[in-house]
Amino acid sequence: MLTIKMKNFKPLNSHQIGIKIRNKIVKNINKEDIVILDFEDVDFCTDSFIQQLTLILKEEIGLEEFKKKIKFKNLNDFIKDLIKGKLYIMLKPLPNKS
Amino acid sequence: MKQINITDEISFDNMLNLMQTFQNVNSQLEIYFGNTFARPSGVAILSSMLYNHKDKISIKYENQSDIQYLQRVNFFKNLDIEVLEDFKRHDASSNLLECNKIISDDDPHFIDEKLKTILESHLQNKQNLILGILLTTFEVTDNILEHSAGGNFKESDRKIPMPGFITAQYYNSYDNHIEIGISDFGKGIVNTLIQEYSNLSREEVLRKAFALNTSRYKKIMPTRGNGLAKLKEFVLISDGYIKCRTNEFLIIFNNDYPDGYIQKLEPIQGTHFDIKIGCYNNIDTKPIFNADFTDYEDDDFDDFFTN
Repeated sequence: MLTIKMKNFKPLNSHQIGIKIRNKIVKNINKEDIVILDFEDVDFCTDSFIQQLTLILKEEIGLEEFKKKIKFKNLNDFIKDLIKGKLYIMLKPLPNKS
Repeated sequence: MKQINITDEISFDNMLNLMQTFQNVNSQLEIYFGNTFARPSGVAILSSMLYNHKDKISIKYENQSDIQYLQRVNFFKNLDIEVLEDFKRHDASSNLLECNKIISDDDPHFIDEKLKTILESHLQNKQNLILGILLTTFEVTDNILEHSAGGNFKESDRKIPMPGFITAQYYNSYDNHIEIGISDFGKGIVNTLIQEYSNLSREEVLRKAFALNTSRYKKIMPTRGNGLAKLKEFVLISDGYIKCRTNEFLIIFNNDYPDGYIQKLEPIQGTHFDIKIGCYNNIDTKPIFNADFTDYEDDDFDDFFTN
């Protein structure tokens, strides 16, 4: 399991920071069973940043791999909502609710 | 030697009017400062304009008080002009964000640090408002760096040859608001986007820049390019305004012109913003910065989160 501490990359304000973390994930995804993106002590991040860790990352590793291996942790309400918005675009149409 | 007198308020409009004066200047410049009043956008624009000439500038003034505000915002320091400081500089002003030079990816930290401290000291309970101001400032600042070679989905340390400048002041007297000035001498918004939107007129491209998903990389990443659209929405909800001068246009957004009022003027270099954000009320930032929550249930994505 690989845990990436997002606070080490603050401020999470741009595509460029997102690209750095995304590249780290892509480099390690085949070696790890799961990659945790830990947002502890992160208050906020920009839309530009989070696009790299959702939409672009999915393009690179595929949706199934993303669903199986990428987990977001310690999110405040703002960041959680931001990520949900991107996941929604990523997963259209919505998963069936049973 | 060319002499320039700055005796009116250092404001967005006045500094833009001066811009022609600075173009094609190759001689030494003597600048006389005769006014104590300056706004953030004016300081940012003047910094951008003078940076190119900084090795040729000498300054004149009659009273120390005429330049004190400029000293406090680090205006002269940014231009490597040494001026004796005849006042006590406090470590942290409670309402003034000094003028910051933006050259590389390492620079925008001040937003998460000093600007956040200023906002928290004045707007303690308005967490969403603080968040919105920080996010929009990050997005607009990032646009300055996007003028560099970076941004094309490659890992790179972006560095631009001509710095951009950003400064801000919180005003809590009769009109509770923050003003943010941002200025750079890049290609300009329209010139940056026109190739990607060659089917649109230049005026339409400018309008489109403030709409969602507008980017010169739209073919690679269609959801990219939301910074200015979110800035606009946030500013309008706060009852503030955006004035943006870029290429041959001035565009203004306020509640009288939510879709933008455009004036065609002389072409100029760069992009220059005067942004006012009203701070009377907290703002629900969810619809602006997050998704449309009517389309899915709260627990639709629980598989992606872990405790």
